[in-house]
Amino acid sequence: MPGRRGEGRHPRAWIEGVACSLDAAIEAALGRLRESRHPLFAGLGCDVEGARKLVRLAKLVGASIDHLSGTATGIELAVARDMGAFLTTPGEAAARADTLFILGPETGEAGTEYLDRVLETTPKLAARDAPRGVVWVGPALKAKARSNRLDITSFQVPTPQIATLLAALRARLADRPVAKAPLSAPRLDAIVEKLRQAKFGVAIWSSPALGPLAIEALAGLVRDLNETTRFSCLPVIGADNAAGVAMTLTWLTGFPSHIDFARGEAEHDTWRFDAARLARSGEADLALWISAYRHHWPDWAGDMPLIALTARADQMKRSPAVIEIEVGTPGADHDTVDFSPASGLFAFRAATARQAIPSVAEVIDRFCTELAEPARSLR
Amino acid sequence: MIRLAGGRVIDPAHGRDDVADLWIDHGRIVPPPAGRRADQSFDVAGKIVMAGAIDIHSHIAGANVNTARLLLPEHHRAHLARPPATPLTELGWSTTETGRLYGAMGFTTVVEPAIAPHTALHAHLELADTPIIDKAILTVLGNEDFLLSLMREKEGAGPIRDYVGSMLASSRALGVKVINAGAAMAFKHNVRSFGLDDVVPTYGVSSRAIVSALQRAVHELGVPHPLHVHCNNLGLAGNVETALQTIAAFDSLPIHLAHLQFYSYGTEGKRGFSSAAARLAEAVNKATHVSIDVGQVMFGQTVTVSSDVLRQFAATRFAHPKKSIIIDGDSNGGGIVPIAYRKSSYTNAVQWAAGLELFLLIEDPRRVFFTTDHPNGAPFTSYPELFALLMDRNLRAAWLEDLPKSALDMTTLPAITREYTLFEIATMTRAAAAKLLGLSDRGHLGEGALADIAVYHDLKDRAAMFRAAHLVFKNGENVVRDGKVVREIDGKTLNVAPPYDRGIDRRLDGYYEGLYGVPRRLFTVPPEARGFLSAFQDVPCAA
Repeated sequence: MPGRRGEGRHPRAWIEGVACSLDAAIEAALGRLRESRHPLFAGLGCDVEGARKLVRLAKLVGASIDHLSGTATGIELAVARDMGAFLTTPGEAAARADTLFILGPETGEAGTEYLDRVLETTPKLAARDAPRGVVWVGPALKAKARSNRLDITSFQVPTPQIATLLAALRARLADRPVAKAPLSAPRLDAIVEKLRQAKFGVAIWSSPALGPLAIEALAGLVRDLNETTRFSCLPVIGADNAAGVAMTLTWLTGFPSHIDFARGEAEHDTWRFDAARLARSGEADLALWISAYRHHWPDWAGDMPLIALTARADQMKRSPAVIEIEVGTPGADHDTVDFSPASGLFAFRAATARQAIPSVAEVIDRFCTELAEPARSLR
Repeated sequence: MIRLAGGRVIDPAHGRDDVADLWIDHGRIVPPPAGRRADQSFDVAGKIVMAGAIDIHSHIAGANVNTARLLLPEHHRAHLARPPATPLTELGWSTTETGRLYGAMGFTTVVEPAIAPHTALHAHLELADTPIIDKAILTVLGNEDFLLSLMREKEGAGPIRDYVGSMLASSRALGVKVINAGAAMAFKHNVRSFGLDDVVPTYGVSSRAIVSALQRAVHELGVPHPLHVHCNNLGLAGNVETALQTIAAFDSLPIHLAHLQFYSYGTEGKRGFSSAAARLAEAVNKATHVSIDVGQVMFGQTVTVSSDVLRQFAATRFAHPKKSIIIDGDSNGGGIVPIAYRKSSYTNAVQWAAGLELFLLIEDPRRVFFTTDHPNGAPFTSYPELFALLMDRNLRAAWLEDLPKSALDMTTLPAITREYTLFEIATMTRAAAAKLLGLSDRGHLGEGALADIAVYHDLKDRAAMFRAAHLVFKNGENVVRDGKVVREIDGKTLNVAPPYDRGIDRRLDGYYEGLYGVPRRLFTVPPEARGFLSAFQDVPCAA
């Protein structure tokens, strides 16, 4: 694989873009963390162990934590907590669903990979012995080219109109008239009929494409379908273990994101503790940016000093971080437990090529050890 | 060496209730040393000294519980220690607070009773982040295509036993639970009600047959804890018949029936909903193969978290607040449905009374266990009030005044005068609980026992007494003083590992690859993951 990590890599770190030792970078980062009035922890591309240590550090320095604003996982959770949900697993969708209701474009690498797998799998536990039915609603579909073991019906609908379409389907399911919809009444009814005839149907989508309104409409439609048959949902899981970190934060603090420890105990507020707002308003004066799965930056990176724990970039571009420490990628450079998009479960993964570069957890643990010393305690 | 001097030691496992010293060394209870002085001595004269309490059924961790936390960010307040003025904590529902709050009440071991095998790693991650207490999971079986196919193909008891052994090992569990056996699978086939003799579509296997097969497998593997059963028809009027049938049906081997309060309903009265707890208690008294836990309802806001997805789907219409999550998982299911139990509700008052009737009418405290099915009947933080209700008939009478008269007419509770003694409380929550789970190293204060010890002020206000233990020791370490955690230590996770024929593992590996197209190890708790989890302690099985 081009640009793949080689054997024998050693820890790398930079201060103001100048290479330095790991110890020097950690010492500099500690100085910044000690001085900060209100640090923000964001990105949080890390595994369970990394998230555990981050919560400990956040308690020590009174930080805010937000990794979900504007992300797929953030949208899913917000809708689910507002109105509930029907959910199933990648395994059940692949093995049992006799009908798949696919919404939106074929976006997102993880999503495409999973969809390919499902569409190529014969549902061995399906209640009826027939090719799997697929209803695909989205823009510019290539769905026709798929396997002949599938019974695919596709409907071309621009992504922004999918929410309206879902509301219209829900109305037709309840036998109510529909005035405005992106498809004609007979085509709406054709979709409704296919959904209603499903024995165990699963709606699959990737949420950045759909947005909260469409997901909410879908949740309502699926709830209504369950009055007479069985139907569930499978949001395609995003990259960077966002779902896994959200779950870890939830069991450790009670909340998936938008958490603040400034007053000691965990507080939760989706507006006050939104990362971009804290950055742009100047309320936070330091960010700890975590991105161990890939090298990327937040669009508010220029708004305040950034300490970054990041996966290696193949080409070192000018980094927006004041202090940057290269960390290992979970499951590649070190053993990990994170959320597996293949199973929809936490899973252990052994390192594929163990490296002597630190994990997020190891770096944060060093911060915690230093900061927890009573003489240097912040509070 | 630590000395607890002059307390009233209540240790039912050894028939003890007397004033004595207790000595602790290297985390264990030791005989009084000759000619050696204590390094540390606690004067506990006038205090009550018991072994650390054991909760055999409390949903404290795992995917379903965590989903409930996600669904209800506004709900953490409900898990505060009660009454709300108790300044124990600001937040009641994280893993961290779960361990701390249990510790403060003198509980030192808690069993999370409903973990789908595929989510076991998730549960163990949470348990590793639950401090102070030791913990364990029960693995949920009875809805898997693999198991039901073994039964449909009539492969016999051997492969089923090996399969159960393999699932216990791959999920690192202390025992097996079956939840509305077959119903989660049936619900995927759009079945909406499922009784003991209903048959899972396409498999031709009845709920009764599944429970029977699992009960036998658990017994043959020598797992100390008998099959832990969540019966069919939970929560429905008239479901006492289901409970009575279940007691009668599986009488050849031991069986544990979970949260029996939710199955103690008759159909009498104008509303067709009454307490049949007295009848059920009588049946339990006669059936010596049966142990039960109560699943007491206490009034207030809570959330029901259950793998009985068929039942939870039906309950969504009563959700308060009005939102629920229904999960069709791999093999198992789950439903998260918030609920508010109200004193003014006829139904809720009958439920509350029925639970207390079971506690008070089942005669042997070694066979009835103290649970609220946390958080389904109430959060575990309501335990102190429940202890007080069991121990004080006048307190019960005062509560009854606030409840709808029509509901009380449908129960026998107002006429019951029994009051639990401290000895009986210790039997139920310590000695018998340890025995039920096969944990010989705890639940008692004999020589060699783990020094898991709770010391209470002997207060007239029993709720205050049990809410904030005077002293708690875990493995001989003082972790709680006067209801405040003074030391946060890591507990262990208890599991069984009975021998079985490993041939079944090869078969399962192929099965997973064939069905899901991904390796089976993704669905297990592999030994290499132990660095991310609590230390495990093997609990011996019968040979």
